[in-house]
Amino acid sequence: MSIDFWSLGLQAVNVTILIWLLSRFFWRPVAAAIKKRQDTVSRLLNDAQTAKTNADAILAEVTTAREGIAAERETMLTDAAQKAESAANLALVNAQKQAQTLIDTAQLESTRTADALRAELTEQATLLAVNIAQKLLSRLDTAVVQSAFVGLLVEAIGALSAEDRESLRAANQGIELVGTLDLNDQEKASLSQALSQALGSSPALTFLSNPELIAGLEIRTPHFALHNSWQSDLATIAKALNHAE
Amino acid sequence: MNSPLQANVLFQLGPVPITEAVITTWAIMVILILGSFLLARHLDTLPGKRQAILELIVATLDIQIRETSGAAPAPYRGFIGTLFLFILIANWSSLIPGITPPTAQLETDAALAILVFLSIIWFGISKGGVRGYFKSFAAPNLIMIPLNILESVTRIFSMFVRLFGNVMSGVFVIGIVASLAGLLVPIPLMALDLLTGLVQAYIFAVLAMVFITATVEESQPTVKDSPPASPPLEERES
Amino acid sequence: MDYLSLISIFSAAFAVAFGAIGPALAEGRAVAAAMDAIARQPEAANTISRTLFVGLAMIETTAIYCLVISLLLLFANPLLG
Repeated sequence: MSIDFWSLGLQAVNVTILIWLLSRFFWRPVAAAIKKRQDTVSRLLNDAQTAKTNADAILAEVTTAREGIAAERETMLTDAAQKAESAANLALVNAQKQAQTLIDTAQLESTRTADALRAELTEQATLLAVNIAQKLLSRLDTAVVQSAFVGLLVEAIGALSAEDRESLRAANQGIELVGTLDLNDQEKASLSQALSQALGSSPALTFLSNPELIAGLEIRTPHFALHNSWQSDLATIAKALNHAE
Repeated sequence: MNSPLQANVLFQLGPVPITEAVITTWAIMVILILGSFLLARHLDTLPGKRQAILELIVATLDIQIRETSGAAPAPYRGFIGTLFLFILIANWSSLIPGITPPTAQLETDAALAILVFLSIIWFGISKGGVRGYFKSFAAPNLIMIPLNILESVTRIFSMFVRLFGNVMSGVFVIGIVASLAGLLVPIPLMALDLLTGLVQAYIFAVLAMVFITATVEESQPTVKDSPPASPPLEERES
Repeated sequence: MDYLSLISIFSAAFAVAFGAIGPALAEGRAVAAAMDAIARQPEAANTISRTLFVGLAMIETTAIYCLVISLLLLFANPLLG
């Protein structure tokens, strides 16, 4: 066995050259291409990541803004609803108040009108009744009635209170006796007797005639009157009727 | 029958005998260089089918280097990759009739082994300095220095003999069988030879890488607990 | 043919025959262990097979040494001149 050192050296040089040339023309360019593509891809990925981050940020911003708008709109809607409600309530209350006022006024008005109407009707009815009574009683103006009134007056004089007697006594101008019919002497005598008995003196008597009394006999002095006639009775009735309402 | 240990000198170039292996090596060199030059001429960012294949080769080599050494593959890529490619094509050149693989000759294998030996020194010095390189012989302690020196020679010698023995025995067996049985009988043996050639090329490259890595790691001026010579998990997945 | 040639031929065959036994058994054990490891950890199959190939190459080296010795005896025997 013998090793050919020339061949050994040649082969070593050959393989060294091969290593050098392949490194230069094959391994390094391909590795550089791989590296370049990896760099490109990673750069693109980074760019995409950055873009995605930006987009996310913008999206978050937009979302926040949209939420803000929604909240604002909600608030505005609520405010508007509240305002509208309060305004409606206010209007309703006002309308109710106004309507109440109108109703009250109308009721008051109608009550007043009804009252006035009723008062008027009552007055008219009273007037009518008094007129009817007047007309009826005027047809009863007879001596019998006259005498009855004389008797009544005598009784009334007898029942006079002390103050009335005093005022009668103080009427020194005379006492007027007003009647519808002329009195006969007997009636005059009984009257003056009754007066003198009641007053303790005999005053001057004046007999007057007044058809307005319808029927009756009244004592009148400047300060005192003793009503004793249909007229006064009717007036008393009418007054009572009017006041009854 | 020709001795497989004897080189077949074709002609004499001055004092230099040009053997058949040297001629075959030149042919392989021309094919490899021209092929790589033509294939790797226009490299683009978006790879075509051709460039994808090239990149697959480079990426696979990178993964193997990284898994074996745990270091960045760039400084070793050219050396290891070219060793592998050359040995592979040289082994498979036995398929061409009339051609004996250059690796079946003692001189070629010895040249490759010597190149590995020199590259171990080269990488050891360039990574760890001269001092670091010599310190790597004292690992793990001083008593190991003679053994380490002996080992650095014997491991190269074993690489040389292993490659030579495998390829040469394959060629030898095929020659014997062909001379006995003629036509179709050597085909299974040739298929086996193909597998052997691939495995031997791979083993030669890996062993070279392992030896370089061992020397580089021991020549590093470090640190009690050097990281294990295994790749990180995520790189192994890729 | 003198006895040196006979002994050389016989020794070459003897070296290959017995030199192949040890590596054969060792490779069998190594492959069995690797299969076991891959069965246990299929995800580590890449690393295991790479280590297996390197280990097999190492083991095979002894058989190759025997082959080289036998070839030396046959073709480059220095005693035969």
